Amino acid sequence: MHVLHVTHQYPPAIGGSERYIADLSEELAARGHQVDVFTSRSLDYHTWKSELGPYEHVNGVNVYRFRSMRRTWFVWRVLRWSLGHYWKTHSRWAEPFILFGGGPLCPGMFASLLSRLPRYDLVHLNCLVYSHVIYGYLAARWRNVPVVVTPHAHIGQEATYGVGFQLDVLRGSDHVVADTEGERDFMLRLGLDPWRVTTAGSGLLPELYPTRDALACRRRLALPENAFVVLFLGRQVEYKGLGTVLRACLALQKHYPHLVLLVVGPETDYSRQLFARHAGLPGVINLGAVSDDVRLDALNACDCLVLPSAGEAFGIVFLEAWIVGKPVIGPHTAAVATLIRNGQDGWLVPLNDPGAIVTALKRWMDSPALARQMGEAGRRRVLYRYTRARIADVVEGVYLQTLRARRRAQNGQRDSLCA
Amino acid sequence: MRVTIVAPAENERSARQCRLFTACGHTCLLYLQEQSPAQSSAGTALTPAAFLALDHVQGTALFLFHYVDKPYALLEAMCHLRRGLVALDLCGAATLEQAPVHYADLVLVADAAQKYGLREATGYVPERIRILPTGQDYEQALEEMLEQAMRGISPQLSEAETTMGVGLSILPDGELATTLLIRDPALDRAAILKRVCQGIQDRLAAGGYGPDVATLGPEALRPGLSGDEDADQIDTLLLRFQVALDELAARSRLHEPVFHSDVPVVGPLIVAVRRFWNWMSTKWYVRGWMAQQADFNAQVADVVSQLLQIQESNEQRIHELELRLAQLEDKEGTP
Repeated sequence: MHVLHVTHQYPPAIGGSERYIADLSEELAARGHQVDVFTSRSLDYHTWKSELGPYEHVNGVNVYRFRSMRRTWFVWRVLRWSLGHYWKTHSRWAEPFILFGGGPLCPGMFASLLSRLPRYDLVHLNCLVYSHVIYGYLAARWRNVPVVVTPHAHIGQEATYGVGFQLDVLRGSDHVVADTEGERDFMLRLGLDPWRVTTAGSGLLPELYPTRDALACRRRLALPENAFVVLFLGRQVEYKGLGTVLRACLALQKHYPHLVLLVVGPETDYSRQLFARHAGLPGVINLGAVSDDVRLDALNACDCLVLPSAGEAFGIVFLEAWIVGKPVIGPHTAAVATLIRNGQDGWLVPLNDPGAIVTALKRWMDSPALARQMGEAGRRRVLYRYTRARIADVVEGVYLQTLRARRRAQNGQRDSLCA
Repeated sequence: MRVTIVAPAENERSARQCRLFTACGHTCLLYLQEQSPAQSSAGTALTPAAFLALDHVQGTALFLFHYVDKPYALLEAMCHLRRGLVALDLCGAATLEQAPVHYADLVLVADAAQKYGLREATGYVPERIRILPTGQDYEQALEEMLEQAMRGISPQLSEAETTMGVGLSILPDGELATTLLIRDPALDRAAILKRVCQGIQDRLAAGGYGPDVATLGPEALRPGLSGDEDADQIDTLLLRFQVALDELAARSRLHEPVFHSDVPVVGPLIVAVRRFWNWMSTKWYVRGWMAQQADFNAQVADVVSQLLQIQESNEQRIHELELRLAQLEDKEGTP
C-alpha cells in the first residue's frame, strides 16, 4: 500500500498524537508499505515556528516538512475571538478565522497534496483540532482519494471536535479511528455510521520498557528504599491534576510519613508557583524534564502512577506504567474510563478530588499485594492489546476495509448475493 | 458472482456454505489448506501469494475465511485483499487470540458469549460482529448478513445488543419494572423477565424480602460494633475530611498571582510596569479588602477544624461507650 499520513507535527516534536503517527508510520513501513508523511517544520504548536529541515528519511518513512505561518499574538487573538464568537452564535462565518488561528497553515503542503495525492492509495489525517486536517481533507476529496482520520478528540473540550468544519470532516471521512471506546461511543452520538468508526489507541514497543530492579532505580534517583513512591509523570500543567495529587499526598504523609511523591515532567510557570507555595517539603521530589533512561528508572522505582488529568484523549502514560507492572490512578473522564478498568488494573477518581486519591492510595499502602496484582493485570492487558504491532494491525485492517468499501461502492449494485 | 471460501480443512460448515452459494447461482470455490496439492499447478502447498494470483480469487466479490483455533498459511492472504467483501467465520474457534479479526469486514460468531469475548479481547467493532444461528435459519441469516455488508448497510444493533448486563428494579407498588437490558440478542428477554418476576413473586408469597429476624435484637441496636469494615469506612471518611480541611486552610490566605511575560527583550519592562501599576492601584484599596477576606477565611478554617476535633472526641466517647456496653452484655450473658 502507498499511504500518506498528514499531521501537524512529527517527532522530534513532543506529544501524544505526534508519537502515535510516528509509531504507526514506522510500523507500517517495516511491514513493507510505502509510507510518506506531510507535516509542518515546527516543534512547538504555540508558535508554529519553522525550525526543522524540509525532508528526512526516518526508519523507513519519508517525512516531508513544509513551512507554516507563524502563530503570533495577533493570530492567537484572532483564534480566541473567533472561538468565543463561534460558541455563542455557531455562525459558519467564524470558521475561516478559527482555521486561520488554529494552524499550521502550510500553503506548500496544500499545493503538494493537490499535485501528489493521486499517487497514494489512501490519506490518513491525524489530529482533528488543527487546520492541516481541513485542507488535507479538501485536497483528498478533490482528488478522490479515500480518507481515514484519527481525531484524538478530547471529549470535554468541544474545540477539539465540535467546530462545523471538524464535524464535516468526521462525517465525510471514509473511516474514523478513535483512541478509546469512550471516544468511539461519543463519535456514534455525533451521528457517525458505526461501521466507519474503529477503536485503536496507542501502542508501546515492549522491548523499550524492560523491567529494572526497583531498589537500584531508587538508589539512582536518590529515593528512600522503603518508601511508598507515588509517581506523577507528565507535563506539570494545571489540567494534568498536579495540584490535586500534591494535596492528596501531603494529607496522606501525616498518617503515612514514608510516602514520597515523585514528579517527573517538564516544569511550567504553574508548577513553579505551586512548588514555591509548598517549598522545602520533605517527601516531595521534582525531577523536572528527564531523559528516557531516567524516565524508565522512575517508572520502575515507583509503587504506582497517579495522573488525574482533565485533558487526556488516550493516556499513553498509563500503558507505560502498566508495562512495568505498576497500577495506576486516572481520571473518571469519558476517554480514560474505558481504558482503565476500575478495580482491576487501577482506580478511577473524579477530577479535582484529592480525597478520592487518598482513599485509593490508602488501599494500596494497606495492601501492597493488591497493588502488585493490579499492576500485573495492566501489564497483561498492554502486552495483549496495546503493543505497537497490535495497533498497526488494527489500522492496517482499517485501511484495507476502507479500500475494499470504496471499491464495492464504485462497483455499485453489480455484486449482489440475491441477484 | 464469484465466492471464495478458505478453510484449514474440510468441515460441515464450509460444505454447507458452498452448497448455499452454489444454489444461489454463484460460482463458489472452496480452498482447503490441507488439500493444497490439488489446487496448485506445481503440486505443492498453495502459498498466500499464489492464492492471491489465482484468476478466480482476483475476480471474487465475497471471501469467507474460516478460523479454527490456530492460524494457517492461507489465512495470511486475508491481510492483503483489497477488493471484495472479506468475512471471517469464527464459529468453530475456541481461542481467539491469534485470529486476524481486524482485517475482516465482518466477523461471524456462534453465540453471544463468543461475541462478548471477542469484543473484550480485541476491541473489534461490535456492529461488525454478527451471530449466526445454528438451526434452519442458518442459510437465510448468513445470506442476509453478507448481503447487508456488501451493500454497505450498517446493521443497527438493538439496545439489548449494545448495553451491558441485566438490570432489574422493583416498583414500590409491587409491580415489576421492565428494566431488563440484555446484551445477547439470542436470549429471550420476555421469557427471562417472566422467570425473574415469577421467582420474586414466589419468594414474596413465601414471606421473603421481609425483615430478617437474624438482624434484629441487640446487634441491630449497636451499629458501632458492626465490624472492621465500618471502622475502616469511618477512618477513610475522616481522612478525606482531613484532606478537605487541609485544603481549606491552605487556601485561606489569598495570594497575588505573580505576573510573568514571555516577550523577549521588553518582557522584563512589561513586568516592571505592570507590577508598578498593580502596586499603585491595589496597595490602599484592594489589599484592605483582601485582608478582611483572608481573616474571614482563616476564621472559617479554624471553626471547621474545631468541629473536627469535637467530632473526634465524640468518636472516642462512642467507642468507650461501646466497650462498656459490650462488657455489661458479657456480664449479663446476652449474646
